[in-house]
Amino acid sequence: MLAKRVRIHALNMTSNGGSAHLGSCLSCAEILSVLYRDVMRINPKDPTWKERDLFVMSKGHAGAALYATLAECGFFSVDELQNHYQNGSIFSGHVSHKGIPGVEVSTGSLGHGLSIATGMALSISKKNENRKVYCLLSDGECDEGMTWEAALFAAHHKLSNLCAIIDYNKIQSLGDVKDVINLEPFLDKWLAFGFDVLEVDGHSESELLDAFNKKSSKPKCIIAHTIKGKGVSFMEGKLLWHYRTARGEEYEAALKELSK
Amino acid sequence: MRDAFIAQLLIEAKEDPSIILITGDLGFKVFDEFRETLPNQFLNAGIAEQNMIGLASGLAFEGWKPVVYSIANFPSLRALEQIRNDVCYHNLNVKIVSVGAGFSYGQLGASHHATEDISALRVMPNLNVFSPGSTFESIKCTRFMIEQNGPAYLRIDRGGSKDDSNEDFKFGNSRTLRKGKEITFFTTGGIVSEVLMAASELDASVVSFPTISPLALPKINENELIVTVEEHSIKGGFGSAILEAFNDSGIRYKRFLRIGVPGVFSEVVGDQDYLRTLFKLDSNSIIERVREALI
Repeated sequence: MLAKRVRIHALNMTSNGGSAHLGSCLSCAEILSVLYRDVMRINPKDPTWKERDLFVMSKGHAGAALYATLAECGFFSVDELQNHYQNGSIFSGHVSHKGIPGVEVSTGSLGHGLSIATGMALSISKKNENRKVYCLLSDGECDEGMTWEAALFAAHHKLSNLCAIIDYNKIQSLGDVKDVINLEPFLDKWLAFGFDVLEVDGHSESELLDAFNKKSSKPKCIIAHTIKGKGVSFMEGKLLWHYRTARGEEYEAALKELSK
Repeated sequence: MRDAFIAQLLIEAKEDPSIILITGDLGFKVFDEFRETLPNQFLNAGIAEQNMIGLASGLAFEGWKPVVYSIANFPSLRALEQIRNDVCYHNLNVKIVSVGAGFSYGQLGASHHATEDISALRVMPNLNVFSPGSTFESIKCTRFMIEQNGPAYLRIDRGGSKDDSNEDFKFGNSRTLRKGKEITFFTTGGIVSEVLMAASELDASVVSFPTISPLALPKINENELIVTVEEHSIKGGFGSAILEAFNDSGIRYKRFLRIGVPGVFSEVVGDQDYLRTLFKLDSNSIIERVREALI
């Protein structure tokens, strides 16, 4: 299944490249898989197809997971994933659009994505097009004021074609979200900002799909409860795997668990 | 200059429906005609400049040509990283306009003194930086900004002097406004009016640079005194850009004087003329400083 392959690629890419953020890639594998396989109208043979839906990966640090998803969906060869994080490669640690088919927007500095997605959604709305814009955010980046500026704007303009998904894995750079800058009551915040809010198990593809399919007259926010490092027992819920690269025995053990 | 910009933008926007004017909740009364004439091409994004640049980028991805408007440092420094990452890195057709160059809003206080924006923005890859010095240059720069594909920053005075020229100058060109002897002023923005007065007294040449990036250098005489004048910090600003360009092009000069705000905040407020005089940017101070340099 797609999410499983995305996880294995992300492990291989981060181990091969010596890069960080594996835990953040593992937490959003189902979200990306459901979006790209079941939800979004896309055409890997024609990545800039005029009628496509748009995706903005605001949590750009999980770039490996997005690249893996795009490769698995046929935007480019999976062989290219081994270039991730290598000298001279275009496959940067944080998401880059340059030369990579299927990537709409480069990110990496947190908080930018939802504003850009909002602008895209506004354009689609003004042109009366039947397309949607999806934006995946991390929980930590909801510390950024710009995210909430965008939320205010999107709700005010009733951009029902905009869907924000929060990968709520409860861990940010230096600790648990609740201890760094508590987001709770998180659902109430998005509700108060004028979004239609759904809470799902972010590792349940059926729950995610139902949430994506739910009709709404407002912008939508799907709060996806996830587990950082999901799929590898010794990485799950561990801050360490926001940074650490799996090598040697750790890599072998992780690969074994993800390949089950 | 502001009114000349808006009038020209309305002309452009009538011809090009992809132009959308986005304001950060500023411009009381000045957009009335634009909004009434082209309601679908006008948007108030509220007081949220970072989001405004981000959403302008999103619109530009979808084929729009957003012209983002605010005053002083709000559309520039407040949203600097959004300009860098979202607009410039993606080479998007977003045009950023700031009214209130230098001390245009002098009485409003240091928050409203736009004296570091050139330094911050002229180094951005892909970004054209326009700094017109008169209504004529403002109209031309508005045209260039729309015509040229890609990101642009337009820095204009709230007021500014009239210039009845009909010169056919091209994008990127500098303009020789006066021919004189032994001294050549290089200047940009509304301060050109002070420079012209000083140059007349000193019988100096004056070259105005409505475009700072890209920068096109005119020929100079090696023996002249070159004086740059800007209503902006001399640290990294227009004068620095000229020095860098001289150095990189191997242009030799004997004497070079940079006049501008000396990299400090104004401790007091005052109107534009008052603060220009306080920082020795008025015509009399310019004459004095040039004469000192000639000794």
